[in-house]
Amino acid sequence: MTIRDAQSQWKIGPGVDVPVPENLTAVLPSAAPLRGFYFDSGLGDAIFIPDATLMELTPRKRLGVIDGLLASIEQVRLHALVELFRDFLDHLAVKIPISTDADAEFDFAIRAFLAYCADEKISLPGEAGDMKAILCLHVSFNAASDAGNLPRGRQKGGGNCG
Amino acid sequence: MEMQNSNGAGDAESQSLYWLSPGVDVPVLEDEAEDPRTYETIYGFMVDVGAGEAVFSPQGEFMDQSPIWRMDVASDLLASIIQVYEHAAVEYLRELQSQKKADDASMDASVDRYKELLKEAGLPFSDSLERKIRSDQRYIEDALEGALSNDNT
Repeated sequence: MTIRDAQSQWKIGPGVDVPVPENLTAVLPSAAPLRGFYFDSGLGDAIFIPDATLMELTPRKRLGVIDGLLASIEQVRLHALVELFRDFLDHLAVKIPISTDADAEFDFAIRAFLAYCADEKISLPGEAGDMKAILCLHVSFNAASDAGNLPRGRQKGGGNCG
Repeated sequence: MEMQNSNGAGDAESQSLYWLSPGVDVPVLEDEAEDPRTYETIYGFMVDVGAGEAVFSPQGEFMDQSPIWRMDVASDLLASIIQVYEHAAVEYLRELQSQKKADDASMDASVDRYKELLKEAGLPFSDSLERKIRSDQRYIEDALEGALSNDNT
C-alpha cells in the first residue's frame, strides 16, 4: 500500500515519516482495525499474536497483508532511529556544517552513534551502509534547513555523504 | 506475563492452533490461559482483507514515547511479524504442492522455484525462511515415510 502526498505531524525529513492514515479509506475502502498487537510495560516486550481475522485468510493473501505490516513497522523504526540520532547530535552538540570539510566530524558522529547503540544494545535496521546514507541525508536536510540557504529537497553536502 | 516470540521446536506448551511443524508456528502466549486483553494494546494497525493489504499508522500514545522505546517495540513487533510471515510462506508452499498431482523435483529445485515465485510477487525470501521451508519439507517426508512403514507392517 502506498499513501503518497500525505505527511504526518511527526515528519522529520524527506523519506523520514511514519505511515499516515489520511486517505486510508480511499486507498483501502474496507479497512478495519487489525488486533493482536500488545505491549507489556512490565517486561518492556511487544508481541503480535495473530487472530482468526488474519489466520483465516489464504496463505497467499496473508503474505501480502504481512508484507504491508513489515513495511510499515520498518518505516516507524527508521523514523525513530533518525529521531534518536538527532537527539544524539543535540546531546553531543555536534554540528554538521554544509561543507566537504565536515567529513571527519560526520564520521566521528556516526561512529559515536554506532558505539552508543551497541552499548545500549539498540538493534539497528538494515545494513550499516544503508543506515549511514539515511542518517547522512537527514543531517544534510537539517543542516540546510537550519542554514536557510538551500531549498528543501535540493540539499547537498553534509559531511562524507558521497 | 510471559511472551514467546520464538517458536521453539517441540515445545508443546507454546504451540498455537496454527502449528505446522517444529519451528513453524505463529507467536503465542507462553501461558495461553492468560488473557491477552489484559495487556496494553497497540493501536493503529489497519487491514483490508479484500485487498490483502495492511498498514501501521502509529497514534499519539505511541509516538509520544521516546525514540528508543519506539525502536524496541518496533523491533519486537518485527520479530513477531516475520515469524507470522514465514509461517504463511511455509503454508503457501504446502498449498501449492498439494495442488500438484506429482512433483519429482528435488528439494533444492523446489526451494529455488518457490524463491523465484515469491520474488516475482515482490515478497521477501530470507535465509531464515529457507531454513524453515527445508525443515518443514523434511518433517513432511519423515511423516510420510513413517505412515508408509506403518502400512507395510
